[in-house]
Amino acid sequence: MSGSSGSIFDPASPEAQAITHLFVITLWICAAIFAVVAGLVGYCLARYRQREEADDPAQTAGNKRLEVVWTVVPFCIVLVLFGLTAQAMEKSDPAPEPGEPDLVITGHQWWWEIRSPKLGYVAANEFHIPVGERLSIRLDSTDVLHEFWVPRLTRKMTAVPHAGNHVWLRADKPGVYQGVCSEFCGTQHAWMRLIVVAEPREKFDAWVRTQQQPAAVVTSGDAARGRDLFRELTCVNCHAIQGVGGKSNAGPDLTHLAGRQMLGAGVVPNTPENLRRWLTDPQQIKPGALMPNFNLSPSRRDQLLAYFSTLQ
Amino acid sequence: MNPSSSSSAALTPATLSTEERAHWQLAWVATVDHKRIGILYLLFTLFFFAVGGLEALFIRLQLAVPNNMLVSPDTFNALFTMHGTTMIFLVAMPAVFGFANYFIPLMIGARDMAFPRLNAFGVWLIPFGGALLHFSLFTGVPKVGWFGYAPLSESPYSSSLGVDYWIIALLVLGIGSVATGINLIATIFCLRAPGMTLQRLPLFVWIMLIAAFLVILALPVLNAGLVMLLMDRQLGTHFFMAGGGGSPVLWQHLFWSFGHPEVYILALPAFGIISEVIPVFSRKPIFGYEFVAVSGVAIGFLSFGVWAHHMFTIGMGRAADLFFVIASMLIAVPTGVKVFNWSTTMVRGRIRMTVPMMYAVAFLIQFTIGGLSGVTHGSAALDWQTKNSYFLVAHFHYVIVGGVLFALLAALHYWFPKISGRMLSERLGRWTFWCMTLGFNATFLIQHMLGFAGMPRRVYTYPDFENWGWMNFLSTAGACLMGVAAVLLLVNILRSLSRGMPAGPNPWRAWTLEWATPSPPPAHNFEALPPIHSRRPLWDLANPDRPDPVVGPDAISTPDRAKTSLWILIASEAAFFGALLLVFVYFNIRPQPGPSSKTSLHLVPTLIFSVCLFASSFTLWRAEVAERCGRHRGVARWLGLTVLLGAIFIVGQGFEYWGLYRSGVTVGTNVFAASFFLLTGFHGFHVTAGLIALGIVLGLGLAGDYRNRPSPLVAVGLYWHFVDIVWVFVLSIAYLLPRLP
Repeated sequence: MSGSSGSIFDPASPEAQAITHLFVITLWICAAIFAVVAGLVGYCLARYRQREEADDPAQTAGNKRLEVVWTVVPFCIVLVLFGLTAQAMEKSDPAPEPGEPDLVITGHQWWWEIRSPKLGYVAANEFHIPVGERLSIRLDSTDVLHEFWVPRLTRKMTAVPHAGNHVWLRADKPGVYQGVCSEFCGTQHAWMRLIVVAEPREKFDAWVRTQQQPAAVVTSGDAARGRDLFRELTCVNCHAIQGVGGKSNAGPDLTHLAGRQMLGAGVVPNTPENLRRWLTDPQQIKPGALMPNFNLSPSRRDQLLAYFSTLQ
Repeated sequence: MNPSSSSSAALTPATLSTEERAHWQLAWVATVDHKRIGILYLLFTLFFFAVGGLEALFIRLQLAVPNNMLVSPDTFNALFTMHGTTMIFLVAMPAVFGFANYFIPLMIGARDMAFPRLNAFGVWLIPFGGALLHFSLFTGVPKVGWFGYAPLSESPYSSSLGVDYWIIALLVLGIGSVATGINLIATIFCLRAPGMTLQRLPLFVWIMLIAAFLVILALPVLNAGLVMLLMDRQLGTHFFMAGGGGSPVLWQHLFWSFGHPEVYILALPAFGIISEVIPVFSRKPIFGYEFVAVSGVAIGFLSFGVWAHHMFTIGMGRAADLFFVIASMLIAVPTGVKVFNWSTTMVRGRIRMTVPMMYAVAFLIQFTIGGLSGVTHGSAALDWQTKNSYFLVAHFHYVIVGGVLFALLAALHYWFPKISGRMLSERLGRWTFWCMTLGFNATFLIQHMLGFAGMPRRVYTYPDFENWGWMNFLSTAGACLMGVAAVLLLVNILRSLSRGMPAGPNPWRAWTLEWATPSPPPAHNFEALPPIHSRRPLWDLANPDRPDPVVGPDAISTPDRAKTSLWILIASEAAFFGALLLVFVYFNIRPQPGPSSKTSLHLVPTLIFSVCLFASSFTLWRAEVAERCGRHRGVARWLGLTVLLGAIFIVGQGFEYWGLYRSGVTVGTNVFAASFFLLTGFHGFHVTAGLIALGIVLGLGLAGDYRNRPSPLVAVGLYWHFVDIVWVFVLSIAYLLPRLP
């Protein structure tokens, strides 16, 4: 896998832009202060370095006026930065509005569940948003702390169990935005990534319509046998496929599995070959993931694979 | 494996007397001499520095290339947990204590620390704590990060005993640190030589005094949190589990109430070292002594009001966020004052670029970078992007490695001749310095960029995004160079111990008292002290024609050792009980499901045994009066009555616990019960400890032990009165307040 991770200096929303703006100002101020200190130290080293033994210089021990200056000036800089910070906080994180959020994003060890209470779909690790529209997001967690972070779009915010933290999410330009869990959450914290696809309203609506559909109906062949296996084996204890079976959200909803870009919350691209490897032994790909190796026979595995490929 | 044997053998001729040479191992194990204890601290530090450094190397090797599988995810998570814990608690703090132990008594012209045996206790808790921590190797190493966030650190998510060993190790190390902190403060207050007034203290001593206060006030808060986490894991309470009425956020409050002062516990001593090294090698006194000292005090105070800037993404609300923004940013002001004072000290100096000075200059530059990037974490809006990213990793390594470690290396090179009597090689030292500095900056400068590009910390591997690969590879290469520097440092030390140039008493022509005695100093430290009228007694001695201005009057007041240390202990205990009381309020301010103070606690019996406890303060006061008047029989009578009243209290509390147990209220019932037993249990434990102390005083008194020497009654009494006062707060908050309409 390659491509760009995106940088916080390339913001794509007013919320992220407010932070970037403050960051640039802060970096310039810091650079100026650093230049003063480094310049002073460098000057002293160049000018006052003594290579031979010499008498000690005049023993000046301080200067009250200078002390006042370098107390008061930084104090003023701090006040300015504080004002700018308060402003940027307001812009990048306005108070949440009452009512139901657009999305509820729940952290699990080690994947993201995305639920839209208003539009009634469930997705995992990847979701689409309409360009230019501000979505209100409630964060939750079913186990430990997780942290929602999409650097180009919005601030990061911790998902605390039962706390209901809130963030705004918006993208002004169409594109694929990388996100990640940034609070250490256990073994596979590294592979708890997130993809946000921003697209124009019509395309977004089409995506939502797909997500709202139950799983595609299959009637015969390997795929149908795969569907029955999904219901009969222990898959349904953790996974759900709308219209087929399973209610648990312990593992990602698989209704539209084939439509996703990545498997295992970012660990490998979602190709038939990778899905086969995953079903053969998930622990080989994502060691420590909560899905064990079920030692499926090759024929059963391929039937499941055939079924999963229909879940567009 | 035994770090002390080889080096101490090399140190043998210089520091051990003839009789001791035959049993030199025993002489080191049984020592109570502050210099040997200081050396032991530094040897333990070196050993654990190698351990933590190797862990860091493996972390960087795993991250050298994307999608790497050199170590497993769990191994990686264990590595960074142990690396952080080791470097903070087993390297940085012992190193600071080691230098403080060795040099504070020398710098103030004292014979030893105030409590040499307590000192030995503190140093041996370091290997004990280290062994406990590493015992987890046999049971499953903790994999929760050095700040052990709940609920990941709770038993459902970390079921092996690793986290328990981690907790117990930190408790042991924390208790040792508090003991050392008390000892340092008592030493500085009580053992200064004639003329060494507080206004004339070397800045290292001044700043260590502040840091020691932070130690005794901050560590107890961590201890409180650790005990609660241990209760969650072992006794079935739910302090930090959202499910059972607890709060994972509370753990963060407790941890960072300790954790941020801890940053200054490490940074302040570094400031102290730099404040000694830069003047000596600029051949000028420090610029603005008073301002460097006072800004240290300001940092000390502010450091307790900034902890929640580690929690800007936890959802504290705008008002709290803003408070911690301004408090955190303000701390930059006194820190900046120090940086300017150090830089200006060099102006019009005659700068000698020795190895210690090179480290000090690198400290100045790197610490400034770390301080400035710290401002970007104090600003909540920026923190919302940079927190938990590699930018943060870069920031705190600039503070703790580029700042603290470089200052410690400056100290090592500066004071090594005093400790060993031999000079380190300047040539090898320069090589080490450049490897260390280049390696350090290669490792961590680039990590700022990784953070900007969205790389989170604590990931065992990462996707092959544009630029991530080479940036991480560069960082790993830098870490390897630092490893080379560490080896060179070790070579330099070992070589110098046997072949270094003899140092003489004052190789750097420095001005503080430790240089007024041979290197290494004799067991009794000084044959005779030079007169002390200014901040630089040795300058005055060397330059009688232009001495430093006399600072203030010569007269010093040195308070009583026992009483001083007891007051400091009380301050530390007050922080501990303050944390427990706040925890109780936090959980009981809103009604909880299940038993509560109103439904389960009976006021009348509690008031009866409370009155006994309060009365015991009165009887103890009578005993103190009797002692002052020399009436030994009266002392025994009143003291006996005190012990009896205290025992009634404990028995009363026992009955209360029994009643609660019978009505089904146990520690795991709900957070009310858990916080109640936590608070009253620890108070009862302190009462019991006080009873034992009083009993000992009583017994020794009856045996006539205090006929010819003063009894410790006043000191023990202080403690007893304090425990009674704590009960006033417990009674009000746990029993009375909840009953108010």
